[in-house]
Amino acid sequence: MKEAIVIEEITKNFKGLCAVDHVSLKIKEGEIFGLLGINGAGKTTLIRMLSCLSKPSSGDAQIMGLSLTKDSAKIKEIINISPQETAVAGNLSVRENLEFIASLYYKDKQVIKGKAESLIEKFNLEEVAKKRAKLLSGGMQRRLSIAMALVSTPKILFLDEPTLGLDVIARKELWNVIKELKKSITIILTTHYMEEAENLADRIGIMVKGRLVALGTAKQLKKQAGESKFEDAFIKIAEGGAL
Amino acid sequence: MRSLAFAKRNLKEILRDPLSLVFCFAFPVVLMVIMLLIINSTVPDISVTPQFKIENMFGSMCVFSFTFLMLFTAMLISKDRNSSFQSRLNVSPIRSYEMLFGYVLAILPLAFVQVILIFCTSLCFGLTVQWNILLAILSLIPSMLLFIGFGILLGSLFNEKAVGGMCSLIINLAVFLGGMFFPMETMNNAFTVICDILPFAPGIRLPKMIISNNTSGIWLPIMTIVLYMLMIFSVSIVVFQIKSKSDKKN
Repeated sequence: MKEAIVIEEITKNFKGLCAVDHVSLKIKEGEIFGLLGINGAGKTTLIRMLSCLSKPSSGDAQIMGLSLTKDSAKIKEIINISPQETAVAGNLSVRENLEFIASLYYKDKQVIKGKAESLIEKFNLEEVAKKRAKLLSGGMQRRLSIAMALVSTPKILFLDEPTLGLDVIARKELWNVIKELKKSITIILTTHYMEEAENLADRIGIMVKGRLVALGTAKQLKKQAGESKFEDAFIKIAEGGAL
Repeated sequence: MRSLAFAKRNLKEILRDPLSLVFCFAFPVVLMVIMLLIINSTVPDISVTPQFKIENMFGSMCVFSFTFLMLFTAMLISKDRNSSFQSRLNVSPIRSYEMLFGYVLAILPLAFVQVILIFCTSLCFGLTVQWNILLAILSLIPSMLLFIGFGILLGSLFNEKAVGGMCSLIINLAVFLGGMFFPMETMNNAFTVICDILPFAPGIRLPKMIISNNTSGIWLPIMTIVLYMLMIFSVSIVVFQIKSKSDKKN
């Protein structure tokens, strides 16, 4: 399997604070990669750099063979992001939100409408298609947010805490949506929910103070930490006990 | 094309917010009607309060209503800048100049709707329809762009909490230094000089001069308002672009 992302010694400094510290990592095409870490570990900063929202202080990454520091315009054509907070236009309906994002990528009206319709169908949003986004439940808003990220048919999708604040049922529904996507897209997701990472991710990276301190499948990380539960393994690794 | 799509989204965001509808369209008209009803019933000789003559009030109320467009432009930009929605836009192919154009394209038609509403209200209160009304409306375009420019500038500089206060400051300056609701002629020289140096009074005086066919020396207010408009608009474009880039660095 080819590599979708190759991160080479990427670093981000904010006024004396090192948010991401020389991280190197390879993510394969079609993989769901989970990025874990406590608050302030550098997960979102790393995602922001990889999605061209923020420039690295040093280092680089190859996104489908394109350099993050040199080819950001081309990279934007093949990636998309569903940000941490629900990123929808509140006063626009579900269909209008999808059509608006589609119109930023495509010129043909038929294509724009077709994209919106297919995503409404794929994400089971038919019943709320005419409803304003701000009136949707949290789960539906997240679903719409991910659908909006798929309008451009990206090869790589960044999901920043996609199920944050959702109830158990909404979370499970969204997991199914993400599992469905796995077949066609490389997904990098950050999360605070251990069971989410364990359930969805093929491999997991754990970040502590800007550094990538552990990498492997959930099973490998549990073995590395000598714990039977993934949550205990994460705590041990995050606190430095398994290093 | 992307600017148009973005403008469409901005227009929907504003028009579907009841508060913007009230402040952009209803409030200036209601205020105008109330003031005219009070003046008409309490002041026997309108020449004592020339600023409330309908031909003078038309321009004043139009400029007053533009100040609310400034507020909503600033609030929309500030809200967008600080939201996750902006991250989505920044990942998309839309460029910052296209976004800027999208804001202006959305706000400008609203300014013309305001002018039409105030024009219709003015007709009800006795404004005579003459060919020069059209020129007066055209003379309001620099003021429209000036306040949209202020909106872009303040929205780019301040967060959602601070932007309302900063816009209120400009609204108050426009009201008090523009001579909207008091006769400038009765004020002392120093005050009128300050008012003439700033863009608000010339912007209000321009449609008044055209409607009353008193166009001698009209070039001075035209030059002042156009210069300010170009200056504020240019600064707002530069600041918007700089802020867009600095947001990406962080």
